[in-house]
Amino acid sequence: MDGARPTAQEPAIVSGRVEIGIPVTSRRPSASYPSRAVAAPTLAPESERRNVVVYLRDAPPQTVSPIQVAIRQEHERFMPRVVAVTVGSDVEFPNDDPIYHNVFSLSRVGTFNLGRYPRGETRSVRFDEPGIVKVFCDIHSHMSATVMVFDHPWFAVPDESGRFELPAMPEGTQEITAWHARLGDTTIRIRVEPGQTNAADFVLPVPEE
Amino acid sequence: MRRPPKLIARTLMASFGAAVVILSIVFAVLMIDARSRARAAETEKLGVAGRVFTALEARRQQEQLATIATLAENPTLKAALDTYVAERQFADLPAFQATSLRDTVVLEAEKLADLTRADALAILDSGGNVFASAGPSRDDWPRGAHVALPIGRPSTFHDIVSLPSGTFRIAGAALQFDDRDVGALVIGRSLDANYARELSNLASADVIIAVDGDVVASTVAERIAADLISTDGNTDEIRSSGGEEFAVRTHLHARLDRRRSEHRDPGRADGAGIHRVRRVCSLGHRQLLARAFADGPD
Repeated sequence: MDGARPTAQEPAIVSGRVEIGIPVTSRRPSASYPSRAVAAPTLAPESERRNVVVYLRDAPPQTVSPIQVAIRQEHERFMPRVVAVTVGSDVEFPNDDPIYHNVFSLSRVGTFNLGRYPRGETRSVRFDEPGIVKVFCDIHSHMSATVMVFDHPWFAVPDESGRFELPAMPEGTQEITAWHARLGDTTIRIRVEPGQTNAADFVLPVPEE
Repeated sequence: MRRPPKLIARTLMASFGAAVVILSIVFAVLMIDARSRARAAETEKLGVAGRVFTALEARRQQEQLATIATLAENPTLKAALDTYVAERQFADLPAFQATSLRDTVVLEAEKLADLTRADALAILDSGGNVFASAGPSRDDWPRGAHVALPIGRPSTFHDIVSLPSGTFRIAGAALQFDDRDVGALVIGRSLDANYARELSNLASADVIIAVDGDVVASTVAERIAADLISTDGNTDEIRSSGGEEFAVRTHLHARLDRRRSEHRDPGRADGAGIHRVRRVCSLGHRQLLARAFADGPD
């Protein structure tokens, strides 16, 4: 990456839109959980855009404020499936199902096992290191979620229409990445000009030339 | 000494010649009939045994798939594999963490291999490459080896695959989360002499296993087996070898998708086949006649 590193004195907005261009929910029926399968392939629903995280690649660490979010366990799924937080943030895992769940992770930046707990209870984890945390249930092996932890403020989860906006960042050539669990990383380079809104649009996956 | 009249002598010779001709025709018809009956009987036996064997095999495969589908719902196995892949993609994965996650997958694979008594149990990543393997034949499934699984396969599947170490019959199940597949769990059985013997016992017939026209395992003599495998790999007929006739039925034939640069002879059979064989007719003429008289005319 070339160009000046971001500084707080030279702000510029980066905003854009994420489109998902191929079927994402085309999943075969599970032999063990046939009732939960999506039998026919369809284009990704708009809600799938909320499972994307857009962030500034190789951003230097900044002082950030922690936030509190929740990943609920309902209908044997984690909802939402993807969250993005800052270091020092707490993520709660309330159980809304009438059955036990056991949330755990083997990730380097956040290895934990919350044990089994019933409906109505909630347990939480604080993430003090940046990185990606994959979360699972030890009882229901089809459940998974992702927590992305950042030590800077330049990240966003698009809304259902796919729109996102990154906080003010310095001018220069920057690499912006859109991550999706199934579609992987897509990175684009943009020239960030001060005092204006700079566009960064993504189509996942990148169409072949 | 008086000589018999010429007319009587000629009449006797003609009668004797006619009798020889008639008897020869009768013997020939009887032999052909007996051979035909023997062939039909053995072919029918092969067919009947084949139907029973096919039903047993289908049931065995169903049970195996149910077992493997259950084994594929292992939370620790899936979590370790998914975490490894996600962390490698997102950022550099430290060596100790990579080793720890891989060891977790290997440990789970070894437990499953013990449970299933599989020759080889392999965990494949979403690209179809071996991530970890376990079982007595694990060395035949080295890390990184590519396994060409059929595209669009169901969540549980049977197939025959070819690796550099050999050809294997596999049963597998996808490793799935709600939103995606992260790989597959595969149990492999080498197409070897032990497998041929096992199938032969179940099928009550001899078995020949061939890959690309070469016999890799057989319960009949190799010379005979090579003669019985047709060039198109699909055999379902009466074939001869060494003066004997054999009824051959193809139990299974699969094309192998291999990404190898070695030259394959286009004139030879392509793919892997498992064939059931019964000796139809190896009786000599005397035995055929005895059988014909014992069975009686149609």
